[in-house]
Amino acid sequence: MTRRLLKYFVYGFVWETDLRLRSCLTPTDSQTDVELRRVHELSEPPANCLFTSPLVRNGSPFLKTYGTEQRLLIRYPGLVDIMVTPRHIHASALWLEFNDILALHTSAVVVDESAIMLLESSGSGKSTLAATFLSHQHALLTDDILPLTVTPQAVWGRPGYPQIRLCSDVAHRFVADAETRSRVHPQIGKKMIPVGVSGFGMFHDKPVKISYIYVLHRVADDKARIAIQDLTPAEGLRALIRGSSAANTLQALGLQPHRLPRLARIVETLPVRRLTYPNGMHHLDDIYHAVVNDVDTRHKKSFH
Amino acid sequence: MPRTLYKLSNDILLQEVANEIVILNLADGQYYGLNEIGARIVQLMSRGEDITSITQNLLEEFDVEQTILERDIQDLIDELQQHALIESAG
Repeated sequence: MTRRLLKYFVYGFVWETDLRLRSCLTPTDSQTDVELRRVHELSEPPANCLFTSPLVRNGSPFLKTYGTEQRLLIRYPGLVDIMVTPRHIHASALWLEFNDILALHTSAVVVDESAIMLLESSGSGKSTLAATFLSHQHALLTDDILPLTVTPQAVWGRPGYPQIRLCSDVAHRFVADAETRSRVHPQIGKKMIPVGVSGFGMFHDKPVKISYIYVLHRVADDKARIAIQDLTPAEGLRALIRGSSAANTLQALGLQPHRLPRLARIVETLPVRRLTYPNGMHHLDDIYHAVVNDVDTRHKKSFH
Repeated sequence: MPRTLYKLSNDILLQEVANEIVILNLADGQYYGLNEIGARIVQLMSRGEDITSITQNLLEEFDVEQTILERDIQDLIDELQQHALIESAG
């Protein structure tokens, strides 16, 4: 028995899928760009192993790839298989990367008609900071994967899922009915908070220029000062490599040589700033105002 | 006097950005940054220049004392070798 297919608009594309996505993505009738399917029983991979990753996890290669002219099978041994054909893939970030769209793991919010990126690895508080921006009437562009397109004139970000994932205590600060919200995963305490129509704050559902990248650096010292400093382009590039979605897979698949020049172009185009801030929710509004003032000051400088 | 040559590992990617270089080691996913002088050393190394030639080039390009430069070059070589980013080529 097959499940009914639904179409959703996300990352600027129409995804047709049999998965019941637990988000407030808007169904659409537009022409399908990519298909996303759940497969329970996979056939044996083609005999020709194209690539075995030198990266090792639990004593086995991190991934292997098998291929024919018709399809590429990416196998994470013991975990999952991802099948890639010209119109199918089972992982959205990889599909974006295969289509020359950089997929970064970051939050982004709209400030003064362009978006700023709040970049760092999990646990740095980027979703909490993004939620603070939403509470000050800024729109969310994404809270997880940010698809980026680099043109000679600008760097464009595409909208992600209209939701934000917050730890329970943080969710209670921003949303009255946080108790009733679903968990991201049964074993993960984070709550999924819908954003936009009938949700929390506003959602920006169209591509928008990126203006600044803030690399988040949260420190445990409650008395630490909020500071914003320029990073060199090389430091910025390292932050973008670190912030790439599915970085190990991209590396293992040999996509990095093609990505690095485009990541370099981003840090040559956009200012990259390190935002250092103290731990604690009582600092959030001060951090928000520091960033907004920084953006405002830079805008004014660029006009003079 | 024998030429001291090093070559870049086959597993690394170099990306120049604003006169600096970021090295990505594809074997383990680690990445490293080199400042302007470090970047120039690796550039010359990648063109097959030996250490004597690299030193002479840098003395002409930067305002630096030879003894300090030679020590900095050796420190960088040690570090690059330690992370398997370069290997001796003769």
